[in-house]
Amino acid sequence: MSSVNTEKSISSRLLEAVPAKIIKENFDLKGFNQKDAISEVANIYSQNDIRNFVFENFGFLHQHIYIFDLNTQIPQNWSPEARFLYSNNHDGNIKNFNLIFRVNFNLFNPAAGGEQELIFDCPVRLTIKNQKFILKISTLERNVNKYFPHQVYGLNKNLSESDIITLTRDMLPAGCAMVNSDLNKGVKYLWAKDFFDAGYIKHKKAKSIATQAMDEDNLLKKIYPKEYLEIIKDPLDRSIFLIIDKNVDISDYISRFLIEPTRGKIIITRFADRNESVNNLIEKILEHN
Amino acid sequence: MFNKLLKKQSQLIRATDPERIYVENVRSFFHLPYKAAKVLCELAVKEGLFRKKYGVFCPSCGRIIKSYNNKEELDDEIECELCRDLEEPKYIFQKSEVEVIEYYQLKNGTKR
Repeated sequence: MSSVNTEKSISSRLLEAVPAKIIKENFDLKGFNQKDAISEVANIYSQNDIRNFVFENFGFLHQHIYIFDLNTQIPQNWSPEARFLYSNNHDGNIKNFNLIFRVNFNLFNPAAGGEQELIFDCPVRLTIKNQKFILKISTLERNVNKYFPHQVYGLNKNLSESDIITLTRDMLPAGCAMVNSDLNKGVKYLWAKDFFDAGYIKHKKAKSIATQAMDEDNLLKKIYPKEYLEIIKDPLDRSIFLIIDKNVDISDYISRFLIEPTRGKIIITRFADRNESVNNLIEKILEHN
Repeated sequence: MFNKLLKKQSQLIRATDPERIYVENVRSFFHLPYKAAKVLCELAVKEGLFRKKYGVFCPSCGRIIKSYNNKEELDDEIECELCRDLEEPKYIFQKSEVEVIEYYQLKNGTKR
């Protein structure tokens, strides 16, 4: 195995998904910078210890969340395929499965004189609650150059997010199907209640797609209330919302996020303040959906 | 011409956002050539009616990321938070990479 793909190297890359603050607090590494803290943890702890740590802190990761509706209840004893299942932690009627997908980035490395692989552990959490099937995929570092002292060129990867979704869909028992949840209702309810407002909105008009990217810190409903009333008649596409409700502690949620309500997709590109913040946001949207 | 601006000021302000008056707003409102509209805006600054601002365009999404009172204040690196949220590969820009637009604001206390 190439030195960039030893278990320690793969664990180091996995740790990069977690905010440095959480790593340092958890492993008592006060005074360490991010790089040294990761190196220390990868040297001392086993791959499983590190995977456990990442899943315990999954709520802090940057992630793509896909919410699906199931056509029927999944049998109580159902479990994802063993080759991807790492662990599970069920909580009452909520089932949480922690999955690991190995993702190989193929790149051209001129210094090595050819193609090379860079292997990542991609942690995924699957949550099943009633007839909701929620897939949270940790986003991987896209700049492979970060791992080399010289320029390399990314070619492709063996497993995309849509592959992960397909593989997971294929694990469902016969007769059980999933479709993307439409989150428009929940999002529009919270927008109407001024729980959040939009910094960026893409909405599907009858015969076109319209985008509004607000200048500076301006928010759409506050600045253009009349346009807001027109926009909410349409299906929402990629949109960025910022939580503005003064009656809530914003750290209980994620302060800003990208959502594609019509596709049931939420994208988190900021580290949450709390492990439960992302889940709180999902619950809040689903509660009113 | 400046008197004409003063006279029609309230109409102009109603037709635009007093926080964001672009030369083009003035040009189209008065049906002037661009250069004349620009001169008019600069005169309004001299007369204390308008305040001049410099907005930095995001090279990726095209919105104004940040505004400054003068060009010398521009930060060396400017981050577009929307592009970061949109997962654009690049969301931090050097001063040399961005375009700057001049716009005007109605000064506080100016009658609408």
